[in-house]
Amino acid sequence: MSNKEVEILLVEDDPNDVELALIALRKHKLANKIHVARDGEEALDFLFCRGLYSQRTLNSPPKVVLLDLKLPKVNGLEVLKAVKSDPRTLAVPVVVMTSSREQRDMVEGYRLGVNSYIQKPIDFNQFQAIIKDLGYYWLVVNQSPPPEAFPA
Amino acid sequence: MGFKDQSIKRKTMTVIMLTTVVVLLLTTAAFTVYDLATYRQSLVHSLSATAAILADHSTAALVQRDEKDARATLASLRADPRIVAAALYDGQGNLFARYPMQAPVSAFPLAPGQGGYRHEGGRVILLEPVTEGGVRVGTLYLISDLHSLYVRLRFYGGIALLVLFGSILVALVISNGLQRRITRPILALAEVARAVSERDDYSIRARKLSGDETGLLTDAFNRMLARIQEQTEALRQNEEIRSLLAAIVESSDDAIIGKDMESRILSWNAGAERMYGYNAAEMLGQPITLLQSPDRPEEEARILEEVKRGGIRHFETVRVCKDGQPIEVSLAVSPIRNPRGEVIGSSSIARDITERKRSEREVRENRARLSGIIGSAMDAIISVDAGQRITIFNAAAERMFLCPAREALGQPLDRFIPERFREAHHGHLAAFGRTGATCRAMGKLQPVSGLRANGEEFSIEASISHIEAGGQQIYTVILRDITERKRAEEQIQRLNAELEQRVEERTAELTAANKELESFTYSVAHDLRAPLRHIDAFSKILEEDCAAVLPRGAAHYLQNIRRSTGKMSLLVDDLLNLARIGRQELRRQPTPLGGLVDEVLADLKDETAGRMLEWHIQPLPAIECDPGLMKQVFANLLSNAVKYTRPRSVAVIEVGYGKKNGDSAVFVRDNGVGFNMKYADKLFGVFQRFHRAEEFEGTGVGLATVDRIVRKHGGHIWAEAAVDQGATFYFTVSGLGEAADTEQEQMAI
Repeated sequence: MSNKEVEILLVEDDPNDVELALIALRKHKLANKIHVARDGEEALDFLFCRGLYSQRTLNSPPKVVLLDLKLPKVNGLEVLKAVKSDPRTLAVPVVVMTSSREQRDMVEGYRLGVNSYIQKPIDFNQFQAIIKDLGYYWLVVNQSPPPEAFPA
Repeated sequence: MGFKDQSIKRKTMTVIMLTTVVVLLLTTAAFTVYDLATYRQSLVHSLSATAAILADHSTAALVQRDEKDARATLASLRADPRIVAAALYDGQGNLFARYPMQAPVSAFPLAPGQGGYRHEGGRVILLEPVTEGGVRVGTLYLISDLHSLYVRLRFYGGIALLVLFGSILVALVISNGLQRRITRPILALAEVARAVSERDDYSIRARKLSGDETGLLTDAFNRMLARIQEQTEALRQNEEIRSLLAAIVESSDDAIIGKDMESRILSWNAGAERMYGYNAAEMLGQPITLLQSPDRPEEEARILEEVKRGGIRHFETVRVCKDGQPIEVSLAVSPIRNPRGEVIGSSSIARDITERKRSEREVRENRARLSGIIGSAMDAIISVDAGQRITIFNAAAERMFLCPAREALGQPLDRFIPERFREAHHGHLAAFGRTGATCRAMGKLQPVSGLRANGEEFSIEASISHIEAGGQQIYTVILRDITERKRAEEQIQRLNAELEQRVEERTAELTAANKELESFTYSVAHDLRAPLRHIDAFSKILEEDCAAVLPRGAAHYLQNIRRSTGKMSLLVDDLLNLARIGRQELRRQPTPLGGLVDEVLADLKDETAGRMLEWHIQPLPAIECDPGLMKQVFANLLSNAVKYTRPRSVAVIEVGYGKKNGDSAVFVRDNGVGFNMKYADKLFGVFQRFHRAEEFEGTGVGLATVDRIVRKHGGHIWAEAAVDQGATFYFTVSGLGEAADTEQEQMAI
């Protein structure tokens, strides 16, 4: 895949969730620069510019990673750990979005350095509101890390 | 004070003075007498001479009868003052002339008398015959007084007085000096004597001040003092020894009695009084046979015989006390000899041995009892001395080791110990002796194996005790054949091991199951919720985006779908919570329950908006609990109370605590719809609901969750209610009673 600019990396295996997320983002015109990774391994390949994504460069990461926890192959917390323990990807903002609010997942997530932790509400209206807030916040409100935050 | 009692100093002085005075007086007197005699004689001589001369001169006058001449002759006497009067008598004895002229005739005798002289009235009268040619022609009469003599006498007296006075003075001075030399040593002696007598101190010695008799006296006195001192010392020592002996006798617990050869009592000490009850006054002079036991009438006679022979006898006998009580005594009777070695009596020392005899009997009985116990004991009892030689071997030991006692006694214990343990056993026994312990279970001591006479080894449980008696170390072991028990124990051990293994397996299974359950709930948390979200999301999208093409009524169904997903979501959350509580560790900390109630009330604000609610919240204690979970308890109970009072125009909800059926319990009471108590046992089951969903919403998990939390806190929960009459939920938790007791007196609720 080319090194076209990606603002949101959505890491989600469930196609329904992918679709609902995209619906919500699209509704608020936030879905243009989104990339979906369907498992943890793909997410890591994307972020570390490996395999299919070897064309990408490390110094232009997405503005935010929306990370599900229950993922095939490499689970969300493992992805988080890899990202936050590597100086090259340490600065990438990661938001965990998960169905459960298991306490140990929250504890582990924060200990690994997650930037935000969100439970996906059952109610779709609420879900849409959260997606909207998230997108605005990370893409518009938040000052993304400058390129210097990503040493080659 | 008579002369006798005067001090020697004064006496000496007096003697000297008296002697001096007497001697002087005598001397003076003699001298005076002699002088007076001599004087008087010379006076007579002188007068005679004068008379003779005068007579001669008068002869003529007389013869011639010339009175004038006679007077003139007599007048010549004026020259002699000693002559006071004179007269001339004629031969017929008539007064012829007189001198002095004026002297009366009566002053002269009528006739002159014979010649010679005489003393008359302090005067000397001299008669001198006047002769003429051998014929007496007259008589001269002269009177001389002794005036001169008296003058002389007075002079002598004065001299004598002066001499006496001077002599006394000199004698006084001399005697004073001399008597000091003589009296000083005597006085010193007297001083010493007084000191000795006053203080009874015979160690004082007089200082010898001279070599004369006083010096001898001082020496003799000092020797005497030395003697007295020695004797006093000897006497004192004798007295001490005597009183010591007396004290020994008197303080002795033994009865010490002295008797003469007729067995009469001479001395009776306090011990005797204590022992026999008679006092000394009662017994002195009485025959000793008073104490004799009537069943031994010949005893005293025998004792006397023995004493006469000079022998000392020790024997035990029975004596009778004053109160008639017989006592057993041990007697020592020995003869008393006078200085010539003759036996003059005897002393008897008696000791009450009633107690000792009784203890001896007790010891014998105890020994018999003990040997009975040892003989009949089920356990083998073996005693060994320090040399490991067997001294006790009871019947049980005989049976256990298959060896008769007579063969075992005196044998070394080794005989009954398997050879390989013997060395170690000696070490253990010695070590045990050194610990000073007197008793120890021998469970861990080796060997725990015995050796029967037939060579068979068997297991033993043993205890050992150690005593020291009469300087002898005695070790006693009590042995029990535990062959059977050991077998049983081994079996138990085997079973235990099996059981343990099974438990381990079960635990592993359980752990696996728990893990599985955990991953199950984890999956439920994720995977069960995801489809719900999807259903809700797509129904929503359908409802919104495709409303135009949907048939009538579809919107209603879509809403039902979405309501169901919402309910399902609550259900899943509640079940997950319930599951989580089950496996979660309690995080106890001191928590004021009142604070939790306040938090819950704040959370309920939205739910209760617009409702008429009366809250009665009593102060609640602080207890040790998991605040998060305890809050869920109050949240469930209070939201239930709010929910089930919904039909009431004014809901009254009460929270408090107090004693309920003897337990301290927190309660939540409402005036809501209540429930029928016949369903009370289902109240806390999962998914148990008492009301239709359209009346009161709910998942049926809340009270199950409360029940689980309360039980995790060591308490229990129950409810009292009646249909339409409200409900009261009570719960206890561990620590609530103590917390409440310290805070206030609890009221029954």
